[in-house]
Amino acid sequence: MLLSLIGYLFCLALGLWGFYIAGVQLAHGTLIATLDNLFLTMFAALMGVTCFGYLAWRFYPALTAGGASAAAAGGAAGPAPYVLPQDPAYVDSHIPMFNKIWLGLLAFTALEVVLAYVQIAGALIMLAILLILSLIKAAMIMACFMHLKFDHPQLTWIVVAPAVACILIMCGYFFPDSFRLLALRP
Amino acid sequence: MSEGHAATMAEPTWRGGGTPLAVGHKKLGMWLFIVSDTLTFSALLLAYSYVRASNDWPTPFHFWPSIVFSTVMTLVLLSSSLTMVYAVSAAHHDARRKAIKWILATAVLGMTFVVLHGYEWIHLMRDEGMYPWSNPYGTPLFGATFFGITGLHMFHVFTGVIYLVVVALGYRRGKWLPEDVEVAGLYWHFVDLVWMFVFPMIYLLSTAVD
Repeated sequence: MLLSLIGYLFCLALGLWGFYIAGVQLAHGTLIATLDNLFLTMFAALMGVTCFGYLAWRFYPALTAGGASAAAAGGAAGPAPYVLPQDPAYVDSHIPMFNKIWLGLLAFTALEVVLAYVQIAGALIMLAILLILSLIKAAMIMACFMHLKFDHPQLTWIVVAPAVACILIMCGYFFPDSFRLLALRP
Repeated sequence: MSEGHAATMAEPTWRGGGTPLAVGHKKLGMWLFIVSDTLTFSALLLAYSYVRASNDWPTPFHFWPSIVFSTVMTLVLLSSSLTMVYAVSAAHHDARRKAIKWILATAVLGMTFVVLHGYEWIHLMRDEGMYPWSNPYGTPLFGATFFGITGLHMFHVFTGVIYLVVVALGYRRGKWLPEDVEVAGLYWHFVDLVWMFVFPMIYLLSTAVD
């Protein structure tokens, strides 16, 4: 109990610290002044989001269901029995949603193709917009088609966390050098 | 889920009872493979971004045929994901015929993707003179990254089609279970997911805008 409390407080402090660093960078307008600042801001913001995301994931049910009753239910009966996604009735109820997700993915693709021609901003901003749209599409595919949304929540953490961490580390290695080469170009 | 699991579910999960994360070992294995394959593709795409950011990069793809083809390919791949979802759903209902029909529909759509992509490649090589080692637009890295990344993705699609057909045959014989169909579906959705990044980064960012 005490250990958990210390853990949550640590998580809260780390999240606040991350957002503080990112906020200072933003307030001083030094966000993309140098590449180091950009990566510092990115990692700080990511840490803030991760810490607060974890806390929200952990405490959101208790906050919405009323603290006392959730604590009582958790203490007495344990967590509700988990419904395996292999249950046919469980899968069946999601078919309309899959159709909607498919339509959404098509709409996002159409939007991307349009954005490739109607370039509303500079190259870097366009790249960011296209990548964000792609990330949304990837999240839709992973959550619904690969039904991570209906699997055990810990599977999501085990699958997504290492991939995201490794990709960020790769970004941290690749891009500074890429921009350095850009600066070295005659 | 076999009957054996019901007895062991009573054990604490992390002591070996039940199935950790409430998924079978095949599904967990496929997820771990997907994580490692994600890193393969992200390394390729990041290397592509690297050479792109540090070079003068040509933008030669015209609306017809490259962008139209790749958009249709995206449509085909997204639709194949939907048919795969139907296949998994039917398999969970033990609707064996229906499930096999949907799996084969997915395989046909996947094969359509490969054929369209192959046609696109041949067009680029024969009509535009673009090869992995040289091209008329500018830096030779353009062809190298294009054929490298789309080639690896096409290889995944092609392997996926074979995988789907094998799973469909095994499922029909009763050798494999609905769970195996689901695991094949995971792989197929992953291939679709990768294309969601390849399509904008390789094609849409290289469109010739007048």
